Amino acid sequence: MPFYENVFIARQDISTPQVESLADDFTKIIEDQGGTVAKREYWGLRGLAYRIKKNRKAHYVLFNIDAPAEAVHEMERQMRLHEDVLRYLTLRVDELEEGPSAMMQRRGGREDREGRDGRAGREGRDGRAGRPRRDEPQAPQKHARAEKGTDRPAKTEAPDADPKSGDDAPADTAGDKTAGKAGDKAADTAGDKAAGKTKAAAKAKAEDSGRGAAARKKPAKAKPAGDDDAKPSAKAASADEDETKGDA
Amino acid sequence: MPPAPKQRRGGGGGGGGRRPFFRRRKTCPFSGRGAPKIDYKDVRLLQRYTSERGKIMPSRITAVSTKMQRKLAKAIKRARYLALIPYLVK
Repeated sequence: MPFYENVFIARQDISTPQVESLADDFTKIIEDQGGTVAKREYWGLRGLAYRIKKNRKAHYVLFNIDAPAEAVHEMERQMRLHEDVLRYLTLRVDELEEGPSAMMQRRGGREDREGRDGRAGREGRDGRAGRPRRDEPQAPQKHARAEKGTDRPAKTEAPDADPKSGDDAPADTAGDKTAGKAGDKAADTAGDKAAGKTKAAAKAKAEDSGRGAAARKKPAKAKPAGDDDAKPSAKAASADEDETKGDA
Repeated sequence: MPPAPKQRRGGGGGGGGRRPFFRRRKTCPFSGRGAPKIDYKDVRLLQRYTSERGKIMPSRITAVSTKMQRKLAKAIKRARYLALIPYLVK
C-alpha cells in the first residue's frame, strides 16, 4: 500500500480534545478500509502566517498513513465536508518519516535556536540582501519597547504565539521577551506604589481637614491616578508608532 | 558585526575585494554529506530561502542546485498553503 502524509488544519475555536476526536474519526476511516496510521502528531495551536476564514490560529495535525488510495480519498472527502477543517494537504511519499517531524524537533529544542540562527546567517551572508544584519540590531529593541506597553494579552498565550513571532523575526529571542516582561512588572509595581502613596496622602489630608476637604479629596485622588494611567498609555502609543514605522 | 558587509560584497557582489575576477564556487547546501532534507514542515529551513518579503530566493544567490531549487520551491509553496510561512510579508 502506498504511503501518505497528511496535514490538516482545524479551526481555532474548537478545543484540543475536540481536535483529538476529529483526528480519531479520520484515523477510523483509514483503518476501516484496511489502512494504518503509522504516526499521528499534534502540533498544537499554531499561529497562521495569514488569515484563513477569519482564523488567526489553528490546530495542526499530521498523519503518516499507510493505506489504499480509496481510504485516503474517503478521508479527504470527509475533511472537505467537515466545517472545522480549514485546510488539508495529502502527499504521497516514498517512505514514511521515522521519529518526530521537523516541526516537533524545533519545538523541543528551542534553546538551540540562536545557534541555528547563527548558522543561517553565515550561510546566507553572501546573498541575502543584507537581511540578517539589518534586522538583528533593530528588531529586539523594537520588540522590547513595544511589549512594555501593549503586548499583555499576547504574553499569556506566549507558548502558542511564540513560534510564529520567532519565525517572523529570528532575532526576537526569549531573552528579549523576559526582559520586556520584567521591565513591565517593575514599572507596574512602581506605579502602584506611587499611586498608593498619593492615595494615602490624600486620605490623611482629608482626615486632618475634616469634612470640608472631603469634596476636594476625590479630585486629588483622581488626579495622580490619572497621571499614572496616562503615562503608560502614552508610552504604548509611541511604541505603536514605532511599530508602524518599522513596518513601513 | 562590522566586517560582515565588506565580506558580503566581496563574495557575491561581483568582486569588490582583493581579487576582482575570482569568486569561489559555492556549493549547493542541499547536496553532499550531512545536507538537510528539504521538507515543507521545516519552517526554519525554508525561511532561510525566502526573502524578507516572503519571496523565494533565486538560486544564483543561494547557490542551490537546479534540482534542489525545484524541490525547495515546491516545499516553500506547500508550506505557504498550510500557512506555515506567509505568501507575502508587508
